[in-house]
Amino acid sequence: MRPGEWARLVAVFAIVFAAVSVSGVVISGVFMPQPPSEQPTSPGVLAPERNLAPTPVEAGSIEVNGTTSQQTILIDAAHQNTQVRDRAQVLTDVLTSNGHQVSYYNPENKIGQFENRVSEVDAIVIIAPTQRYTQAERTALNDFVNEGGRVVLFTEPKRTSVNLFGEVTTRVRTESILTSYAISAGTGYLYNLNGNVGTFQTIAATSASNQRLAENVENVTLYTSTSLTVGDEATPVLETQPTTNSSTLRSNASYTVAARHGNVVVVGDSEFLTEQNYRKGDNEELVGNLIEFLLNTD
Amino acid sequence: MSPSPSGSQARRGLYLGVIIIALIAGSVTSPYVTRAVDSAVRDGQNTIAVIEIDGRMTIDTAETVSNQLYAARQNDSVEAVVLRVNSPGGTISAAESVYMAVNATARQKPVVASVGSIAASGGYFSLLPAERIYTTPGAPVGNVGVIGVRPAEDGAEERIVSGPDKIRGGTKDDFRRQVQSLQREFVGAVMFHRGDELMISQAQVAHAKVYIGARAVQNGIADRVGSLHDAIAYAAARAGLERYTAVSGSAVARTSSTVSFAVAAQNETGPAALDAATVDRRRILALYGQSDTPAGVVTNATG
Repeated sequence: MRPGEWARLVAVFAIVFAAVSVSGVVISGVFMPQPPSEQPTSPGVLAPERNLAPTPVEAGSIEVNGTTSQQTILIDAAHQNTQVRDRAQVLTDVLTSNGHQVSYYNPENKIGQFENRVSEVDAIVIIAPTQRYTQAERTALNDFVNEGGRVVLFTEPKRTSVNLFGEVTTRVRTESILTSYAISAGTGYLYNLNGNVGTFQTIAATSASNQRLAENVENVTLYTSTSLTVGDEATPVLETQPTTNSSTLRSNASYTVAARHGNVVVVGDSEFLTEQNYRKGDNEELVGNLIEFLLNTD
Repeated sequence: MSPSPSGSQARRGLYLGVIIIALIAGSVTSPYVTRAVDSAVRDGQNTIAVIEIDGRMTIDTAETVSNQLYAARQNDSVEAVVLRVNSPGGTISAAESVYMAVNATARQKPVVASVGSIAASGGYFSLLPAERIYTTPGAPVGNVGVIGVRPAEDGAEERIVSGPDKIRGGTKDDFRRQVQSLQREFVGAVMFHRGDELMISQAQVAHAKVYIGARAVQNGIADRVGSLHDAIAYAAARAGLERYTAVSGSAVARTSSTVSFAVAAQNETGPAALDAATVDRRRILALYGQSDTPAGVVTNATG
């Protein structure tokens, strides 16, 4: 073989070797993935249908069954009762439209007044008083109950709000009244993070007994409720779902939120009474049952 | 004199053999050559963008962070992103905006988060798409939830409004549902991005507890105890970089021509002048700690 032939062979080898060696670089350059274009940034996590809270069902009206002569119902507004006008409005409307008298108790000078007034009425409604009852008032209330008068008391957990001066805690003062009826109210609020029907403090409750008070009450919606502890002499009326939690106890349980002791009924929430809330779920059934209890037609 | 047929065939065979040997040798060396060239090309531009989410989040800070993330996505020299978070959150819309920008970035490049002093509420929401969350052991992390603040009825001024919800923006029920919807969104995002790592239930997440970093790593709210440098090193490893430069998000945005349009557009719309917080008196915050809002209704008042 001539020397020129060897040079040609070396050149062929070099060209082919170089071409194959750099082919990876060329191919990767040609087929290198381009920077991805902008894609929609909202993943399924933010999809409205996944997150938007359902609108609660509002239906029905309050029906008061049974007949009775005209009665007078006293609504206590003298113990710094929380938003008593708003919360008692539906009760007032229904009682008035059924021919009964509703009287708000809020005298300028309270001394001796409560004792006199309770003797003139047939039933008493107490909504979240934040001022203590005096010994004389408690005695008058007990006498009223013992003589057959009916009382419905709405309590609630302590509330913390913020104003310009900082945090303000409001505590309902019902403990001294309730001890006479084997019922005690908690200070913490109830909440449910599994299937709650509003924010976490909006909870569902259902009947806990066969009492007339719990009739047709399968799904009550409560907004800021506390739990009730019930002694042997009292009877639970409503209880929460087992997944309900307490802000103070921090454990899941079915908490009692309404209970009865003879002529006294205690409910752990009063916000469900408002015009905005009384038609949610079976709330109107519960309100109707409570009115019948007050009128002694249950 | 012409070559004999047998000599010609032998030469063709020789050439064919040389070509085959060259092909084999080239194939063997090709991957090494490709890697060497690639490395040489990359050496000049291997960048980790460190983007800071700092302080209370407003729509202004969200725009800045989102623009930096946009620049990082568009800039080929940025191989990975590290989010440096020192934020207790802020408005929910700001947190959502940053979350969406981080999510878009994480689809294209490795995104790693590093918690410095705090990543709570909206600050935590923002970093959820990161593939790994480093935190200092004592930093507050978590607080998955929202706070609704709406104006109180105000009779101090005489005013005429066009509808019943003009002042407060809706009923208490409407507001409850809005807070609930955003809570579902936030908790849903945590479960979506971190469900496999979490050692706590969805209900426990929804309690909105804030955890110190060490506990957060234990329960899956975060991944590793580590510093910013640990996060950068991991991001570089994820991007396959042996040598790299960490640059700030603002530097990436400055050197990126693509982002100038976004910045210009932002200036035209004047987000500062239309700050939602100053216009909308009703606010939903993804914030840990006390809001500086005037007296109003705090929907999740606690005992």
